[in-house]
Amino acid sequence: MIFEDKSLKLKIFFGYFILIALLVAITGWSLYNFNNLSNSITDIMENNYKSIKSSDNMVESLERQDSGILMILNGQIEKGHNTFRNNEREFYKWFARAEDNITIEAEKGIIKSINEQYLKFTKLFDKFYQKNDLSQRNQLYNEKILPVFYEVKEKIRELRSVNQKKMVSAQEKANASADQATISTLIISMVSILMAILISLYISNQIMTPINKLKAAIKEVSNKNFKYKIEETGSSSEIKQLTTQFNRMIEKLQKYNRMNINKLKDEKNKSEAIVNNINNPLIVLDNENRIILLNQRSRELFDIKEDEGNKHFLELINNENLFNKIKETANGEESSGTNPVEIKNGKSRYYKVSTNSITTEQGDLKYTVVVLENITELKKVDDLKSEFVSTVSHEFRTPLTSMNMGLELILKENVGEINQDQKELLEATLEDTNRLNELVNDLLDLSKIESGRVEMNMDKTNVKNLVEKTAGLFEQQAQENEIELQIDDIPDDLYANADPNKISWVLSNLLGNALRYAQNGDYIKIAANKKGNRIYMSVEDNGKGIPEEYQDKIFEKFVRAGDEEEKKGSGLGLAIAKEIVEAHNGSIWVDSEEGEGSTFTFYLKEYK
Amino acid sequence: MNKILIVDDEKNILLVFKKALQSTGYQVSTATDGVEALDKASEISPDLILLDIVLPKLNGFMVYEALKEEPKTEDIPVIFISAKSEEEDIRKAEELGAKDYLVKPIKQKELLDTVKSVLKEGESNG
Repeated sequence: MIFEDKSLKLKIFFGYFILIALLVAITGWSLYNFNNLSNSITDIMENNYKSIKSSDNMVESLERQDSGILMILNGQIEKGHNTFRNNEREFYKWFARAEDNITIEAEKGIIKSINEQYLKFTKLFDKFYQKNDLSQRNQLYNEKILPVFYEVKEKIRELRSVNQKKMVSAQEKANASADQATISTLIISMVSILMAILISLYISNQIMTPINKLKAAIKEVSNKNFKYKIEETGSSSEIKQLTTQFNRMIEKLQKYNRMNINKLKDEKNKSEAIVNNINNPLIVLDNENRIILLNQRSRELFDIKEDEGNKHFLELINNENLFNKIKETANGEESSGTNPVEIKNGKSRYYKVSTNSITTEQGDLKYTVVVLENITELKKVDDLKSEFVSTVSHEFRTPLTSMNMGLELILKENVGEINQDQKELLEATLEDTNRLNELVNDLLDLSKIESGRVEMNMDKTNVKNLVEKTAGLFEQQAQENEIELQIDDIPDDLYANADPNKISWVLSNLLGNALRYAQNGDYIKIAANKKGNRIYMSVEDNGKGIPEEYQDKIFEKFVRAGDEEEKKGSGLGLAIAKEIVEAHNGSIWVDSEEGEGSTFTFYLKEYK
Repeated sequence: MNKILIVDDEKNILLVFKKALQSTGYQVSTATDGVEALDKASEISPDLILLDIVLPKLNGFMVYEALKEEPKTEDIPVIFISAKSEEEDIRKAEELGAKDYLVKPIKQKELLDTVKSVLKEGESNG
């Protein structure tokens, strides 16, 4: 194609150029034909009409000369002669015109014979005029002049007829050429229209074909078919450029897409590898408790095959205890790992359950990540330890009883008098025996609570009563040490779901601690209030406070804040308090600033 | 003068309990196992028995049940003494009808107060 590689603009220009050229050609052709027609008409007017007019005038002059002759025959000799001569001049004037206007070959001969016969006619008149005798004149007229007269008249008529015929043929010719012009103009117009249509189609096709290809390509690409490519046979340079650029864009998109997919794949593989290599069983649940991810350890633990996913937790893992535990932990009803869950698979193992909720931006639960930590060994060790502590403590009890009672008997001088030095030494021994007693009691309490052997007798517990009763036990001690024991306003209808004896123990422990470290003039304040469905209870003092480094540790066993000298008590009280509060699904903590005081707070569930 | 029988396999416990109770004015007998305890109980008919749970031959609960089966000893009030502070044991003691349950380590005052109140209760009843 000649337009190959031409720009689209040039093509459109060429198309219009051709259309304009056709229009010019049609106009030119029409003008040419109009001109031809007009020329034909002019020819008829100028040539043939002149000849006809001359012929008619010649006949008129000739007739008048004939009249002149007849006048002479009637006796008006002078007038007839004048008429004849005048019209002779007139005849020659028109004859000259006809002679000048010979357009047809046949005219020449006719003109010549007209001239000859007319000369003959005028010569005969001369002879006629010279005769004086009327009869001779009549004879000459009738015999000689009249035939010549008719001859001339006939010839002139012939000239007229020739010209008339010529006129008709010219008119026919003009008509024919007009018809021809009409037809040819029509044909050219139709060809032009056809060509215009073809050119328009061609140009629109030139534009639309690549656009349609692009459209299809864009559709494919938007459907992520990055392998699609437009053939680069675009017929114009703009389309070619567009196609090239488009293909380049697809390539880049494909590269980018592949890169992204690879990156995502890498990330996914990485995450899966990490999840699978996590040494703890890991389960991810959606908000309808369907399992959407299990790592290798979980599959091993629960005997689950590779492809069994997306089922409800209980459908796949038939362990209602574990499921309830997960729910409780996820709902924040229980801090993770308070009580391990037993999972049996061949042998029984204990797992600590911790959950992590993944929520949407709106705060709706989307996934729950459950991590199980195998604490079987730890539990074994812990059980052994508890058992050991329990056994040892038990074994301590009997000797402690006799030591304590024996010392008391001696000190009270039931078995004889003792001197002052002996008394002091025995008192010191008794004091430490008592401390040992306390320690053994606390150790046993703790090991019982830890091993879950102590039942929490949960009941509707009036908080105000509980606080007042417990605080009452310390009133005397507080007064003796000049410490102000305050109880905040507690609503009468505040009820906790708690074991009153155990919580009283916790409060006693906190109060005992506060009193133990308090100095004259200090105060201790007990408060209780409700927030949501939790009841917060606190014991506040303005004592020495607890150094920051101890604040996290004081709930551990045998940890005491402060100087060596001040160590009083077993160091197990807060550990027991923590165990009790957590067995109530609550939590306990301390806020303290050194030199300003401490506030111990714990919360319980409201009774409903 | 009230007679008290103390049953424990720990000789030191027997000694201090005996001294403590004697110094308050009680008449004290002792036994070191379950069988001896039953013998002593029927022999001297004490007003109160302090009975350890962990004992050779017969344990404290078995001794208690045997005492209750014997008409001569069935009315003697019993206070259990134990180093075991399990609630299960305490509950069992309560179910059996023991007057009290003392958990070691026991202080002198605690022992004397408990003995005094149980004896007083026995006197007012009988």
